[in-house]
Amino acid sequence: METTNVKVKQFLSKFFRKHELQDDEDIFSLGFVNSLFAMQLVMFLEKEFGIKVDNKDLDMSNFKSINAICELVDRKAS
Amino acid sequence: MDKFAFIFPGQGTQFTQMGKSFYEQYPIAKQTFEEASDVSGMDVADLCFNGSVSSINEFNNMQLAILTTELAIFRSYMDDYGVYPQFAIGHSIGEYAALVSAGAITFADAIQIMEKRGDLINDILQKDMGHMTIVEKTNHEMIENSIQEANAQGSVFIACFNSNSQYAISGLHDKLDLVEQRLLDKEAVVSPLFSSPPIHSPIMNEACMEYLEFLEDIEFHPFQFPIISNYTGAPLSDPKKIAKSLTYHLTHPVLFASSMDVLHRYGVTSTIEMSPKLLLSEFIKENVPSMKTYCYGLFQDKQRLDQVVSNDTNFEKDMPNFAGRCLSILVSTENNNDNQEQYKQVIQIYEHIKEKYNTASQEGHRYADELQSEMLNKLIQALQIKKLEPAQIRECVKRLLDETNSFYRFANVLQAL
Repeated sequence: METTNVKVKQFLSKFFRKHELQDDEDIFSLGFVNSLFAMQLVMFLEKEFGIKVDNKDLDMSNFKSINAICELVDRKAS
Repeated sequence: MDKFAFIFPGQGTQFTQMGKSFYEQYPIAKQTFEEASDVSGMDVADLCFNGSVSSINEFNNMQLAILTTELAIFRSYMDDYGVYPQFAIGHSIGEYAALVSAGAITFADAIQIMEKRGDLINDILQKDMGHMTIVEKTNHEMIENSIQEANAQGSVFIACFNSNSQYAISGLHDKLDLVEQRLLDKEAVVSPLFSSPPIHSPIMNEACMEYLEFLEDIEFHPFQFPIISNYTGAPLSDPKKIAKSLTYHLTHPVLFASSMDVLHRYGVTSTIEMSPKLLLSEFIKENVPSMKTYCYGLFQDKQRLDQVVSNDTNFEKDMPNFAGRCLSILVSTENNNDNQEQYKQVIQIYEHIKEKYNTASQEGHRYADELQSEMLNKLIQALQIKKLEPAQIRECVKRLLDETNSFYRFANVLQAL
């Protein structure tokens, strides 16, 4: 969980350079991401953690915060 | 009557399950996916409908998936209406779909060209030199200033002029990071595409020679309608210029925004995005607010378009039918045969097809397969009597089959010519 959190945070920091993201902060409400970001994020997760994100996982609630993303990764990896 | 242009978007179009409703609803769309699979050796329907997000975003797969889906949608439109536009314009990868829609490249050749392009780009991708970044809430001047401030001239370039406020920039990783930082400082929205190669920039130079050589071996065909090329932002309708244009396309920016003004100047009043989702219509509206925009992949847009078309008798008159197209080919090709006796046969064939046309006009121009086959054979016979060059006859038949979506049914006839 710890390393997942660090890796996800590191990836997101490339997009949120001016903002220190909190673990439970709603990414989409910040307003500086778009659909291209979502695609990048899914690709990063699939590559980095060797998981396959299905269509049914493509729900905003799975990606809305660092915590939500880490939960998705853990669920998919187990 | 509205003047139409078809729009074929590029990267960003792809999503899993794209094109599925067309595949299920239109036999021609299904056949298009099948041809793509045959030519590429990959199950394209499976890639598009069941593939993972990563696999559909892998560069070669993405190109193939977008080209196939957009052609499937375009051909479904041809099935529904069949009226050609004033122009077509594709954005980046979409330019290849635009060229196929205009008949200038066959679908099978386009798949092979895209494969070559993908391989060359992957070689550069392997070296991991740079990437592409989308910049929003910006303008041309802000980007140029940011490049200068970061001392990145010669390493970061504008890759796409999408609209007055959205651009793509390509560059070497380190320098591009610096430019991105400058743009963020100026309140622009920056979305780096980490897995996207720095296309449409001089970083692609090393791929050019091999790509041009490959393209020069491809047979290009006459355009049914011009496209607006990304490289020049001007109409292109000369098959001899395609190879160079597609090569420069790799190293030069996509001039999409100014192309919208060109459409406007030529009197185009409506655009139809031949894509599974709405992607470029917003940019079109930003550049030309009066333009009416539709996306053929969206059910409600399709319905809206259907209303416009059904209220327009001129449009209906232009909808192609098999016999009508045979007749127009017969009258629009020259006769090189001095022998009057022989030429009488051409007139007989014309009268014969005209009769079929008149009979079918009562029933919305439906022609049974055998009847189409008979008319096609008679048409070819007449063109041969007129002593047209074999290459000319081939182009006439190709045009007929393209316009009537019957290239799969009569593939063997075209092949035999």
